[in-house]
Amino acid sequence: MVKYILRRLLMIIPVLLGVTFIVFSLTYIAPGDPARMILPQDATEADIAQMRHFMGLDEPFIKQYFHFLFGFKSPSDDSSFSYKGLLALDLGRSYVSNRPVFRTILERFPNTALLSLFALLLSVLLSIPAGIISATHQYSVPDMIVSILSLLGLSMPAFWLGMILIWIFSVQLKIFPSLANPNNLKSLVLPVITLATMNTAVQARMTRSSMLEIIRQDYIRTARAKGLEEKKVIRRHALNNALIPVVTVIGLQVGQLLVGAVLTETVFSYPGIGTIMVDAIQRKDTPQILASVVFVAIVFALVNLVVDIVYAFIDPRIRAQYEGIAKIKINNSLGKSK
Amino acid sequence: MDNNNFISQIASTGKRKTAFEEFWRRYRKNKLAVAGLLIVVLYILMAIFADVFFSYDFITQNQISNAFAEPFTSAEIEYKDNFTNHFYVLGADNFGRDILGRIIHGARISMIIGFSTIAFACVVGSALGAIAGYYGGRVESIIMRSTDILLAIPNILFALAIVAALGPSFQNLLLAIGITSIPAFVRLMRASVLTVKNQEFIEAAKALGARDFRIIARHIMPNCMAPIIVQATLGIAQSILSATSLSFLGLGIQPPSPEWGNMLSDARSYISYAPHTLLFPGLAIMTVILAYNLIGDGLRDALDPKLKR
Repeated sequence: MVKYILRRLLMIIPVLLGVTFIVFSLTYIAPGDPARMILPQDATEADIAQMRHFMGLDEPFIKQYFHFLFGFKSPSDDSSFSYKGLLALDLGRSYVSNRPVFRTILERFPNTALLSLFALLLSVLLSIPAGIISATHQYSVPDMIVSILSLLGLSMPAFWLGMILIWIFSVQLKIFPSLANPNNLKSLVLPVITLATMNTAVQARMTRSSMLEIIRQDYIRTARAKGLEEKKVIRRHALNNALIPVVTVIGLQVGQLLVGAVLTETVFSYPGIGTIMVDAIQRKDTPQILASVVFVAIVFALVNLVVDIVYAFIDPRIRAQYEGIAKIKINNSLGKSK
Repeated sequence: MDNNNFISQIASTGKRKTAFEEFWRRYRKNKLAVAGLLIVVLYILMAIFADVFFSYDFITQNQISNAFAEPFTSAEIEYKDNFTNHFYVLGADNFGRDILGRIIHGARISMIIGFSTIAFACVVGSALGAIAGYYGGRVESIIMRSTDILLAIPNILFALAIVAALGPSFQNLLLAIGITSIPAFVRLMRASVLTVKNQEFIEAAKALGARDFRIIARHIMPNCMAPIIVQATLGIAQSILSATSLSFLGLGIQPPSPEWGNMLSDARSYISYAPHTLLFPGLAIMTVILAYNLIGDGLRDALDPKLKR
């Protein structure tokens, strides 16, 4: 088990390096010269060249990538051009607000996390029971309702759903505010529903099909044949196995939530990492774009890591794979010593 | 083809059903999938004949005096120096432009985006996946590790980063969505190739002296098509959704192009006065995505009976 976790931890290093490399290359090839953007319109070519030097933009690509990872010491006296690099969570300052980019991100990230967490809870609470009922009562009216709703949820663009909810609940019924902020729980209701819809749909479909597959297996028939109540068959025998693929999907969905938050936050003008990103892109604030994209990508990778590890704890087959190998090895070595 | 006809055909020619007929027989059983196909055909026709219904100049020209005209009302418009009465079926947007016309022209944009990005991703991804699966070894590990890295960045985020870097435009949007759709095809193709490549007919082709390219293109690929076709269908839905999302954020198709996400982005400011500007473009997106999802489900069941539950 420890071995599996260690291996999984090691596997994340090349992934993170690759992700940072891709994002960095994208901003490197981006048209538009940051030095020119910072300086006033009437700056001379010499000023721009000097600014490029101060910002480290005249260095070769690979060197700039190393700066990006490990930090950059500006040759100018102005320390605001220096930064400690991604590993120290410091990528310099925003061109627009002149604040350290990661300070803004770390301030706002908890808001996004809060929204995503609520959405995750809501989607799990709705989708798993819905999927189970749907599978255990296949082709019944509740199954039809769940299937139709989940197809609709899967097809609805989240930003549109958000606006429709605003129109119904803020404009017409005046129950919930149309702008959301993390200090007002009531204002979170609509964005949480918006964000949770797609996930609920995906998870409900997954639970249903996984459950349908499991309840057709022989061991379930055995459980029924020995006279076990249907409820117990489902709870004790079917559910554990049926939920394994669902956990994977939920794990993948956590990442999707972070990304879906970009759209939901824009619709509800919620101060999260999504709105930072969209603002930064619209204002061509390169350090802020770079930092927020890399940050979300890293959080996404880490969440997947955690999910994989949790998965290994839940699924005895994965656990057995590693423990089994360990036991065989021990047995072999015992055999040799005899 | 109905059953009697079919039986008589067998009787007369003694021919067996072709693969397509067999597929269509299974596909047709799924009524929802057939409905999905009809909706998509309708949208494709709309996209092709958009200019027959409304000219592009007309739906991009402002008619400020008719701003927010309600659905099913008519109003006087000035178009090419003529004053005529125009019937707004789905109402008008904030510039008085006909929403129905913009949705129809938007179908053209969305269909082009959906097909071209997925065609690109499908060709590139399948080729890479086939190469990885067929040759194995170092080539495989390079391709698969790069794919893992691409998959480690959430789709929309990656598209967002590409558009942010290259600037919002139609080409960059296509590129962003096309690239982010590749990894799914690589993985699928590699997995299918691995199951096919050690079968006897491949060995036979090798023994006959067929070159690698011929083996991959003629013998392996056709046997791996089912999951690729399903993925492509679902991919088109995903691609259209990504495009409208990016346009909604102002990072995709730029105004005044009648893109659905764009229309919703405009409508956002007028939710309280003119909900119809919000309702219809969203319904257009939803029905088309729903249709592709239905087709995808139907194809999966029809192409691969093993997957059917």
